Amino acid sequence: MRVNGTAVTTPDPARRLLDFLRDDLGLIGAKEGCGMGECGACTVLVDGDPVCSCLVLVGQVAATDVVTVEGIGDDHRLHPVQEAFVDHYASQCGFCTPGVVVSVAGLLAKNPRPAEADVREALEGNLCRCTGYQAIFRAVASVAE
Amino acid sequence: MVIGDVDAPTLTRSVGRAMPARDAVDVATGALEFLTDKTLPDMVHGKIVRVDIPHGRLVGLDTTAARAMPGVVAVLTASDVPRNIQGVVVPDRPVLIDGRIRQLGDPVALVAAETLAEAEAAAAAVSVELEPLPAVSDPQLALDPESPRLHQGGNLLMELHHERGDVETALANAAVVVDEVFHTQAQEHVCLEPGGGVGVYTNGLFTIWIGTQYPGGTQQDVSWALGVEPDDVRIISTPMGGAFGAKVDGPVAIFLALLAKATERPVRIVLTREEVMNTGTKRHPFRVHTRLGLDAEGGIVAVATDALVDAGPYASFSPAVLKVSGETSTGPYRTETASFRGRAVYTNNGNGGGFRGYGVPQVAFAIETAILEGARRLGLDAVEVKRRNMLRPGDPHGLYGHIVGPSFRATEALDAIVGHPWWRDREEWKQQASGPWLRGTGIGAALKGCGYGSGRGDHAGARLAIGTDGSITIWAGPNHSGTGVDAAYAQVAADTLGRPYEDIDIRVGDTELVPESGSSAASRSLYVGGSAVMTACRELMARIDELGLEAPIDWAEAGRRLAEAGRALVEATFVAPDVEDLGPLSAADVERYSPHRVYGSAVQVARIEINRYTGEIAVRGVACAVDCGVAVNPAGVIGQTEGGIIQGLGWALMEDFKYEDGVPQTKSLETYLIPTAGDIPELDTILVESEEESGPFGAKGIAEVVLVPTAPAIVAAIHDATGVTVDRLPASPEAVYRLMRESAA
Amino acid sequence: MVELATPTTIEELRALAGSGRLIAGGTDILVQMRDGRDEPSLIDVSNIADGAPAVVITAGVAELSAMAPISAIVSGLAGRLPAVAASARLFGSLQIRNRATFGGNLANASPAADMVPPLVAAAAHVVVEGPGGSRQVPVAELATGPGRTALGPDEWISLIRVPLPEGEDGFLKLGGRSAMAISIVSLAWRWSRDEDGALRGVRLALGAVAPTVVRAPGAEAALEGRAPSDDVVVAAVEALRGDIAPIDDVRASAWYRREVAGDLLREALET
Ligand SMILES: Cc1cc2nc3c(=O)[nH]c(=O)nc-3n(C[C@H](O)[C@H](O)[C@H](O)COP(=O)(O)OP(=O)(O)OC[C@H]3O[C@@H](n4cnc5c(N)ncnc54)[C@H](O)[C@@H]3O)c2cc1C
Ligand code: FES
Ligand code: FES
Repeated sequence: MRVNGTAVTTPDPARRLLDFLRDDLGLIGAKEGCGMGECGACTVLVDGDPVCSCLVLVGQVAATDVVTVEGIGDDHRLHPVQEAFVDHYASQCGFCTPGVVVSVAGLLAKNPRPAEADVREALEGNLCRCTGYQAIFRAVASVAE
Repeated sequence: MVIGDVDAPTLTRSVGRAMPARDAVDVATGALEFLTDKTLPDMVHGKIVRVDIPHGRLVGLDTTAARAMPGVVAVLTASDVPRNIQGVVVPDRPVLIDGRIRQLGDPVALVAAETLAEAEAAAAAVSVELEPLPAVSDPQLALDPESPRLHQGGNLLMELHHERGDVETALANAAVVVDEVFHTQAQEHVCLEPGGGVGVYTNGLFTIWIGTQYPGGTQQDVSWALGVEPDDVRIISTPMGGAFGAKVDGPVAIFLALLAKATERPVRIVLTREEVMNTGTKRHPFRVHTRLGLDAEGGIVAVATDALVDAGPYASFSPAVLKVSGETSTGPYRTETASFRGRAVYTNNGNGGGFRGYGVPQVAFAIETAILEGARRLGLDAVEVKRRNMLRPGDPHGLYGHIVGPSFRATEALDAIVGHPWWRDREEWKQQASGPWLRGTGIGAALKGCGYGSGRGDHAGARLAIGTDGSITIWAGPNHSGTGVDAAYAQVAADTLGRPYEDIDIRVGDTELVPESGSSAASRSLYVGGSAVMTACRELMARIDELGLEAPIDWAEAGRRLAEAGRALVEATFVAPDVEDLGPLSAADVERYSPHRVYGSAVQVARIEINRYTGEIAVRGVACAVDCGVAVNPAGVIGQTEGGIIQGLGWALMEDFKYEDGVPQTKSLETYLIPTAGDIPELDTILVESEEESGPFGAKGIAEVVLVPTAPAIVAAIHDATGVTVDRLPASPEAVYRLMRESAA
Repeated sequence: MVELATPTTIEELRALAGSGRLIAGGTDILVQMRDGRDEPSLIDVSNIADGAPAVVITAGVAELSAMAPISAIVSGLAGRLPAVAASARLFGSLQIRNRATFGGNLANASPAADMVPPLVAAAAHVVVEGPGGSRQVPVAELATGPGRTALGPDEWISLIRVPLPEGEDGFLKLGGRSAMAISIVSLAWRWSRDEDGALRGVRLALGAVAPTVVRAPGAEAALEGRAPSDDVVVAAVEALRGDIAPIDDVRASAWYRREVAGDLLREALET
């Protein structure tokens, strides 16, 4: 498995990807909000597709490229999505934000000019309790332009 | 859009500019470490052993097997708790159960082990013997003397009563009397971070990292239960992943302290979603009996409200919530005659506690819907009825008769909404309905007080330090609980000092450094905490003035000279003023009812579509005019408004925490539904500004009131689309379908 | 401790079959295990390299992989099988669709399984593989009760064969919110219309109204060969309410399910 571009050795294949990322690799960007696929706070990209890392076992994705929020931008620069989230006040408590950023980055990589309906569809699996989502939509629209 | 009577020149450099949250970059990159992310060297993992019945007695507890399990470091039970009682308002809740069980999920033991898996295994190995008792699940039945008593004093936790004028006579003389019963359901906060934290005990001192809206209160809870001095406990409480009232009380900080002391190692507890859903507080379910009398022109002649409130097993904040319900039971409306009777009742259902809006949404739904019905009977337009009765600055309050402060702008907010295209063009929009969708538009209005209210010594502190390099650090009041209030504190400080925003370092959420400032709740953080920041900054300016420096101030020199004089540290307190003109209220009434001097208000229009076949509702647009005083950080106000609307929308349409005989039926996010990105209407926020003289730069608090009008507006829109009146929330597809079928029959 | 085996070929899978519980997307089984279900060994079927492609279209039939993520099937279908596509669009979230499979949805045998009604309405078959070779089973006969199927412990579903629609087909889902909701009721239909508007070959299937996804024989008969006039619709709606046996649960009452199922048919016929 590669995580954010670096090859990693995977432990016990029956471990949840989320636990592997957080506890073994120290990548705390992916959060656990429910552990059952309902909230999207644990979203990461597996070969470019957003998935809930709480519902994936490491052994199932041992031969894939995993990207977490930590790997969305690079060390020196924020990803445009991350910049837009700051500029458009798209986070409040911020707990959902890493997962949302990953979902949006995944969407834009496939569809650089998504319509609002596409954005909503891409974010249906990312619950946010604080913002009411519209600020997130505005942030995404600003990058998609 | 911004409207209002604020002079442009008072908007100085920082105040009035939209500012991102101060942690926004770290949030977006995932670098921000939440308190449940925290790990410390040598840390052990805690797990709570909980019961799975809602009511009964703990008759046996055997921890022998658990203690012998691999990795187990400590197992604690009630006898290990120095003072086994807690409760902010009424101490009625054991830390660990020693006898009576009153809620499913009540804790009986704590386990700490080397790994989480070991802690879970050991928790499962604790053997618990329970004697179940019949659950008390209906608040009305709970008052029956035959019902089991949940607490020694019986099941009536609190009764609040007040009458202004002669309600019965006024109702007897009214042209119409709407006499209806409304029901509202329990709502769960669903903070995206389920909660928990880390505790450490060294050299007799506790340090607890835990998301709490009231670090000082948590400090008191811990010191009380552990039998130590408050100064021996340090609470660090930010960042936290959502609060909304869920994080003002709760036992987890005490658990961390107990385990940290017993193990003498750092300990972490992270709650599961189910633990929070089962045992966390909820918005109280209400049964509201409203009698609204109108004269023939639609003037309100009397409002009588009787609220029966399901408080659940422990008092939590129920008494305070009930007060706020009483105060807002007449809505943002004038009347000379009103009464309120509220009873909060113990049951084995969800624990009613603080939740954004704090008792207002339930009574607002009742009064707003009653007006809808009254207007219909009189053949008047409900919005006209609202407008003609709207409370204005200087008016006596409907229930208490004290004078409403000068910054109140509900009428202006209503006018802004009546002028909004979604209201103006409603008939045309309705005509364009197609397919299975019916269309309707409705308006809701609400007010809520800013701060704890009169007679409660509502105050906040701030500590300011100027460095010898001129740098400014401020340890400021109510915590950033996800609201980004610290940005607004910095704006207030920047403009009071005449310095750039970037120069101000704000620290919140640490009992060691931030002076006691009360909770981040009650729409008070910026209003009271921002005022304290302003007071501290003014004191610094006064001290600099005394130095006689020439303008422009050389801040480094000022810092050096103040340091030499031992005056570089400023401590300030701001006490929110009480109501000036109490009208008919006595001093004892002030204690009892805590009326407010300052109110924020909000008016919303909702346009919705209803599927005529299924009862499904899609909200297409909600515009909110918010009477916010001066918007110190417009991005913050808009963010709070949008988030509040969507929590109100969830409560109106889908959120419904259900119990059967005290057993939660919706304990995961699969069965407890909150709005997703797919459920979001277009939103539009209109800032209706005025200058609140007692607030920092004219600001007041709005983060709660914005949630309140959404349900009434949606209910009015349902009425517009279908002619049916929703008297019970949520307006789920099934509920709306049933009403449509009944009205067709 | 849970063991996970990760076969990468059909042969390896065949050798392992029966030694543990299959896991595909894991979106049911891992949730159930978190809830206390004990599964000491799991066999992953999400990495089989020599399995069938996501979608193969042959004369009149779409062959769908049972082990490919639902999102891969939808892009492979490119607009064919509108009812399947409509159901897939409303299924969970993108994150879930990127993992969840048709095979898991069928084998989990929830009464509310959303991919099943369009397949039953389409008279689809599954191809079941096992030690003794393969067999075909009608989708309608696969589930035998909530969580129970006609599959042996060492069998797996490899393919779903779905006849392409000749006339109209569609799917309506009623949930508690617009996305990410388990169905309160779902309805899938297939029919064609002849020149005078009469419906032919009517097949209806409903989710969440009985222990398994069911057909609605009464309503089908009421519609078959008739143009959907007001009277015909009323008769079909009433018949449909008699065809089903819903229950009360936390999402909805039996009454609502029964009544609104009829109105879903009305919506399908009228709009
Ligand atoms: C957040 C969330 C939202 C959801 N939304 C929906 C929804 O809208 N509609 C809906 O219907 N469902 C929904 N589900 C349920 C679930 O996603 C589906 O049932 C999904 O299709 C299961 O597929 P899977 O590959 O993940 O199955 P798994 O969990 O991997 O397996 C499920 C069962 O099927 C067996 N199995 C798997 N593959 C095969 C095979 N090829 N042959 C034989 N047996 C097999 C497994 O042994 C297991 O018993 C949702 C789940 C979650 C977590
Ligand atoms: S933690 Fe994975 S979806 Fe909630
Ligand atoms: S910002 Fe708090 S959940 Fe999204």
